[in-house]
Amino acid sequence: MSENNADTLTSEFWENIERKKLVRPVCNLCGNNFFSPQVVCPDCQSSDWIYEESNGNGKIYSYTVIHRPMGDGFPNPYIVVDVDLEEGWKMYSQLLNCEIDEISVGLEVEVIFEKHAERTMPFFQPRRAKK
Amino acid sequence: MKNSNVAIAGIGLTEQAKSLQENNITVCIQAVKNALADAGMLMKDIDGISARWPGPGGTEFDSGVIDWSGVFGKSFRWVGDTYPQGVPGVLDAAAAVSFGLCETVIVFGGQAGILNRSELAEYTQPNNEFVRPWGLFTAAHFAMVAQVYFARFQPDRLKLSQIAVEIRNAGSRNPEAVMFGKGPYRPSDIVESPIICEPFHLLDLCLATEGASAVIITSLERALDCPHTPVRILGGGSEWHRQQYVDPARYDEVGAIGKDAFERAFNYADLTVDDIDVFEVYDINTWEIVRQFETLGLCSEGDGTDFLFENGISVNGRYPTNTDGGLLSFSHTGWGGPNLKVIEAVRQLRGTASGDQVNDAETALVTGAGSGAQYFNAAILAKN
Repeated sequence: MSENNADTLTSEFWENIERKKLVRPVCNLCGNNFFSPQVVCPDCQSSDWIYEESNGNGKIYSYTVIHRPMGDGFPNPYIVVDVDLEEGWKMYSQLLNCEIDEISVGLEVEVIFEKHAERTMPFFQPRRAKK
Repeated sequence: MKNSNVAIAGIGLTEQAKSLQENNITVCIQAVKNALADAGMLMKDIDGISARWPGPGGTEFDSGVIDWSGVFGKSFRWVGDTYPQGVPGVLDAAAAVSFGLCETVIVFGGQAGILNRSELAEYTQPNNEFVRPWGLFTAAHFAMVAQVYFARFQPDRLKLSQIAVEIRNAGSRNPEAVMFGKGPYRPSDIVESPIICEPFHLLDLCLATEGASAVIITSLERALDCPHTPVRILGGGSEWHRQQYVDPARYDEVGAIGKDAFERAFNYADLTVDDIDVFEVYDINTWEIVRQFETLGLCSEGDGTDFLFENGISVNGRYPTNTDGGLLSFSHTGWGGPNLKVIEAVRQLRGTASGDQVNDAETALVTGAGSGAQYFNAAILAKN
């Protein structure tokens, strides 16, 4: 990232999401993966980092089922998750395509992209065996 | 008590309600006036101020932020604006007085005319691009910390509910509590109330209400001339882990937040937790109380629910906790909410509680924030 990038710190993230790519900052100096995006790497304070594509696979670190209407076409209840991604970073999202009694800490999940309110967003769903 | 030369000389509280016909400024001014009257002081005696503040030199007027020097038409020797209320506000003020930056500080905060009786306060949903789109709000951040604890330790749900019952019933008995006269509650009422964000039901969660509160801090010497017995500030500590409500709060990072702050506070005060007579701890939800007692070292991780159930947290229990009804039932006024814990501790130590009163309380522990907020603070107060 260049200097003076504060106003564009996350625009590249959302541009990638529009193209259905989940990316995260990776430090060129120390290799640290981090999220949310920061001006410098939180481990070594280098501003030399780039967005790299994630494989989108992870596990649920924690979740909560929220029983109040959120609006914007989201279901009620909806499931908020804190996902541990395989590359060693974490993010909040929502879990879709999952029965309430199917959720648990440690559940393996994968990223999916859905449009909401004219905007593509990264969500997760339970990872099922590939054909 | 070797280090204490600073005390609380006055407290002021306005009416607390779901909704008030005031605004943020007028309700705060009322709390300031009440605190000045309580301390037997006038505004001219105040030379330090801790409140949400852009002040001289600042020009941004975010919601709830006011140039108090303009409102009171006077200048100050010291302003606290890092976290200008509750435990951090009081501790910063104590440090400023102790170091001679000023003589007498007023710490205040509150809100009015903004909630319109809505159930979810707008300020609980920071407009962060990696948080808000997924529908998170304050209680949900705390819930996600608690879920990991629940998965590991499986606390007894009805015993946990007893904690909410004791605090809410204290509020039911307190004529100044927003929820005065509601209840009494039984453990089954807690788990039968609507579930909001697992594992929390509606009655596990704190209020969002209106009102204001103010605390006056000065030297012990000056406080001895005031109408009420001074309440000394014996020690304190804070932990700031991350910015609140942005990146995920995780049990493995913040489950024990407060341990270092407690150690620092008790060491400075030269006391142990066994010396504390009354606990005014931050009850943003039922489980957060369990977490704090575990972090205090009174019981092991995972055992807090059984421990508190067996020992009792009512005014007659071994650990009288949140005697006014707490954030669950007394009031929680947003940014001003942390002050309410200090106010109730002072009332307990003076023996002037509006609700349940612990007999001959001499020491109080006051806390603020919690695991889901990723910061925490604690102070120890004592009757002179």
